[in-house]
Amino acid sequence: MSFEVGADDDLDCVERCLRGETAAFRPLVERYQRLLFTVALRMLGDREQAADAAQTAFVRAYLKLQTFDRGHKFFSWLYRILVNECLNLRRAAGRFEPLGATLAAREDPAAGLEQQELREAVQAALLRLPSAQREAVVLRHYGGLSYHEMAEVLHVPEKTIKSRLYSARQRLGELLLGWGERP
Amino acid sequence: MTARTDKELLHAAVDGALTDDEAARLRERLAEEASLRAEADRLRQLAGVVDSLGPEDLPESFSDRVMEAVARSHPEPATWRGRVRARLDQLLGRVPGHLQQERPGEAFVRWNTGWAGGGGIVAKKALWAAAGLAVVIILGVVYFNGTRTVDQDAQGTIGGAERYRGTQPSGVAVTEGDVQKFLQSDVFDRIIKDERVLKLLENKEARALLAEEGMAELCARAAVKAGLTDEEVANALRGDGFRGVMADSEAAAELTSRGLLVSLAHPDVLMALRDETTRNMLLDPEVAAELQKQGVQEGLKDPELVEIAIKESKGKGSAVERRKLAENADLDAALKENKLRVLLANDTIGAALRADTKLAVMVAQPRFASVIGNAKVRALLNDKAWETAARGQKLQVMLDDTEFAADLARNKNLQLMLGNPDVLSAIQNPEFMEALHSNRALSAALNSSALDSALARKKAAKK
Repeated sequence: MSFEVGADDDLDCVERCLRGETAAFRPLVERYQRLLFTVALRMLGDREQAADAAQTAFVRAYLKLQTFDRGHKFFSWLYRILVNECLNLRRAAGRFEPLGATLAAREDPAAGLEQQELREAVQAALLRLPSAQREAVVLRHYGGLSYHEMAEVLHVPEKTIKSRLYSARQRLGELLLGWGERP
Repeated sequence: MTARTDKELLHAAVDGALTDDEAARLRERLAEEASLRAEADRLRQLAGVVDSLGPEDLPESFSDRVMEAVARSHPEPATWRGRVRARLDQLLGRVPGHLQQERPGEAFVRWNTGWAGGGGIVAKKALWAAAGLAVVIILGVVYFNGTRTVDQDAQGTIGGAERYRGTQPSGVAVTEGDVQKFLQSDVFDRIIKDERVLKLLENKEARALLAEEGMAELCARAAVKAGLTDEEVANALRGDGFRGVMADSEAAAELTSRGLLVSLAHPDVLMALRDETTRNMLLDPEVAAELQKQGVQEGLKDPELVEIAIKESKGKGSAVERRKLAENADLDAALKENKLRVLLANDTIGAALRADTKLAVMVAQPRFASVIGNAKVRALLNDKAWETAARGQKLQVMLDDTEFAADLARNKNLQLMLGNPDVLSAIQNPEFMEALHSNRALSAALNSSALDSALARKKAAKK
């Protein structure tokens, strides 16, 4: 899933909002809402919390529009706000829930799972990842961001992004496909 | 080509990030090596599994909900002129210009002509008289908000709140009738049955603090709400340690504006700074000099490099990890210095650096030693209630909320509110909090004598 949206369209909406045209924020909401909600859901694992996080991210973005640096992409900035909001909610909710015993105990956990079970297993495995790794996987696989865009959103070098993706995939492979420890 | 490079290429292929040359190289390598083909298959399988979770359907009417929330929100105008205009909008009971749907330039015209909109021509003379008076008041409010420092006397609390009397958070006027309607509602009846809420409503100073503009919205933020409604956090805020820091203007300003307060809400950081030996290690000027180097700062903000640096300081780093460390020349060189090596090898300090990636930045600041040396800050470090709350995490999450932290640094009334036991107790009542956030009539009632009358009537009826 990725976005091919003209940055100029976004900037036009931002400029109109800053001139007082609140309704100009709606196209931005409609353009990014599904993606933001999906990313939030993958980060948090709860639809209600994800909806809250996405809504809060939009409102915070609107409130801070005058601080938006036009030299960057609007959606990178919006993602950064969302990721922070998800981290806040996640930490407020406490530590990660343990992975279901059934899945963890399987030799090849993903084998033979029905689609719904597989979806649940993937979501549970995502929640087992450390936050930094989860952010990387979610932004890459569900946000469709490039390494460069992820580095901009997460404020870390591209090589750190690659390293986090590598570590995250190793862990997901262990949790979902029974890869086991490999060098 | 090393195996590591092969793996990097495989991951880049999964991410669609290969250049043409890299793709050609990878094709060659895959043709040569069966183990790499197996690795590629595994990675493709994993990507397929992960991608099996597609985009999600949105909750019903999501964009409408967002736009309603946006319309209720208040972008803070960037300039003093904007702030004055927003205050004027509020005092005159009209929707702020920056929330209206209007043509570019219309706001300027409205500002310059006193045109209030709403379908009729307002008597200009009366409007200008009101606006003139309002501007005098507004300039006072802007001055009060914009320039006060945390060491101002607490006496300003009620006065400041009273200056907001009659204004509403949303910019949409709440009438006396709205307030009366709320005071006769079932919600009001229910919430005053809670002794905690009743006590707050009978305390005018506490009421005024909570009625401050934007306070209800701030308290309703997810991280803040989770913190304030947590009993351990409330105990920590009521405790002598936090209240002592907030009463010490210098300590409060340093801790809040530099983000140090959230560091002190990490139990591992607390332990490291409480212990004299580790504290002295962190306060060593040579350590601070090493930490001030850009590469060291960047490295110690990256959790993976922190882990590697800690292992390396103990002589346990692998060859791969040493290579990764060598990519950061400053950190690599600093670790060859004895003092930083000893510092990172210390388990208590290692735990603190793992807990808070901003700690290294804090320690390197010139004022760090004097802040930690402040008697009130030292008392906070040893405050048991604060330590208990820090272990529960909700305290650090709340303080880590950037908007909350920014407000805490500059808003004396917020500091006072957090130290007010009646406010802290009342906001444990979820229905009261919900009403405060969503019902503007309650916010208005807090600063209204109608509330006093209603409470007196309820008491009389009870007797």
